[in-house]
Amino acid sequence: MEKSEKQEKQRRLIIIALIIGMAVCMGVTIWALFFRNTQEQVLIPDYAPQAAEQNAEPLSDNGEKLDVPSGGGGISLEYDSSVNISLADKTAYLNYTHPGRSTQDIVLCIEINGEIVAQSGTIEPGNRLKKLALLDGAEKKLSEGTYTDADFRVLSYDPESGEKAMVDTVAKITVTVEK
Amino acid sequence: MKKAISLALALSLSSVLSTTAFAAAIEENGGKQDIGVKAKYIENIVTEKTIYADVVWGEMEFTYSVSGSKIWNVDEHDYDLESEGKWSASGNEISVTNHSNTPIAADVTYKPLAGYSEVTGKLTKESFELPSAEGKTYDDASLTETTELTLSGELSRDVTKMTKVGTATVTISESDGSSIVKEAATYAELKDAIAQGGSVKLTGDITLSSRINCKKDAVIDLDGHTITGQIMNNNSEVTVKNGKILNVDGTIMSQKGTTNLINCYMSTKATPVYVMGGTVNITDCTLINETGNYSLINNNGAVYISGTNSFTGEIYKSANKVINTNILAGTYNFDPTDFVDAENFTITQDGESWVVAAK
Repeated sequence: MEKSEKQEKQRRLIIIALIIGMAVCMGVTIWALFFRNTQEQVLIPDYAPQAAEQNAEPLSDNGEKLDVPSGGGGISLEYDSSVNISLADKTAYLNYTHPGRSTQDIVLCIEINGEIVAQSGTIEPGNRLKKLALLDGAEKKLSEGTYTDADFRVLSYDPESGEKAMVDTVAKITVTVEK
Repeated sequence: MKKAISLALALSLSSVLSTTAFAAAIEENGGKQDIGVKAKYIENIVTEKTIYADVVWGEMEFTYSVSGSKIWNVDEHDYDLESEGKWSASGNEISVTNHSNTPIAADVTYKPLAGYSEVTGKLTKESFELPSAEGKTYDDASLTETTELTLSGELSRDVTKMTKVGTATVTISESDGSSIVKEAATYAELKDAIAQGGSVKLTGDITLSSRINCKKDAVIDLDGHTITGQIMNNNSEVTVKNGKILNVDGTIMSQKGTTNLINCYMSTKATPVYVMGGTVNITDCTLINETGNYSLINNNGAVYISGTNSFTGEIYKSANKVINTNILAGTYNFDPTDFVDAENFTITQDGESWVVAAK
């Protein structure tokens, strides 16, 4: 009699443990499917950021402005297509020049596999960028190696109104990520 | 011990002697000694590729105009609207200029913003390549390409002010320039273009200073013009089309590779097409040997002839050797029987023409 009571108790405990385990698994599944934010999307601003890019280095560039149609715009871009990212200091090392002949301010983004990992402040014409801090948490999405599905996304903004232009420019690059 | 000391003393003495002798040599030259210094120049300059491009756009303003008429519907006590919407554009051009020392490719796309997905956009040129700026002036027209954006679809009547409805994106990447069609007006330009490989189009008649050797894949579009000279295929895929090749000493030579002759008129006092090796495909061509000798000699290659062809002069054949010259479906001004696979083709004479047709 005692033995059967003991067995019954054990059986009940096992059943309770199984039910709790199932509930936990279902909870995790529901969270993963509906609530987990796998991609923190960076939204592209409609107006230029107020803050200038602090890593921008001015050039002595007094070239003539691009000849652009009335109401339109234009940018020149000069860049090396190889970019290095250091995970240790969470910084991208690049060589991007926004020549003085451009008529637009720009915001420079580095995209890898379609995701923005770095985004500059506003860069006025006549500046060069040699390094750019990664966005918060971006280093966690990257691992050592070479990414060929990468690009600079150049967002153009009217220097007077700050409004984003209707034309984006994308330049294909190769990104090497190091520790 | 004594031996060690003796050895040390002997070595010291000999070193002093050599120093003395050296000092004596300089003293003989009046205290001066010329020592020869040599140098040489070694170059290891790597050409860095720099991408430099301009992207210029117009005001990108589009107007969707709806015109029509309201017709009173007696049954419904309401109006039936008969209307038609039409798009017009102002400043809808996007141009890309290449100032790089490498060719670039540009792809232009349009994507509507959320909320305006019914408005779609199309570019007159969605993809193009621009040649390297190396060797060209800053404002060379070939370095710039322009495309126009047109919109279609319906725009809501609520949008009564100019509102951003989409974004055009210009994507730039380094290119190998293989699809760029170069133009050639002179022998030097033609030779240069063929040396680089790719496509080249003649803009006028060209007389060659010497034979053109094709060592890279090339498409030579004569575009109705004439080359006076000889072209040889060394070991590439070469196409020559749409024009005349004239030369005293033969026009086309095939050493190796594949040579495609399309819509060409070749006239010479020697053999128009001479095949030492490789494969030659002749389509819709005229071959004239002005002396009446062979129009085609195939020594050790494979030749395939099709389309409408006129040969003045025989096609070489040998009694002792199998010649791999094949006449396929087409119309010919000579009896092609010796070169037609009778199992797969029929030959019909029609006046002074012979028609070969697949069975």
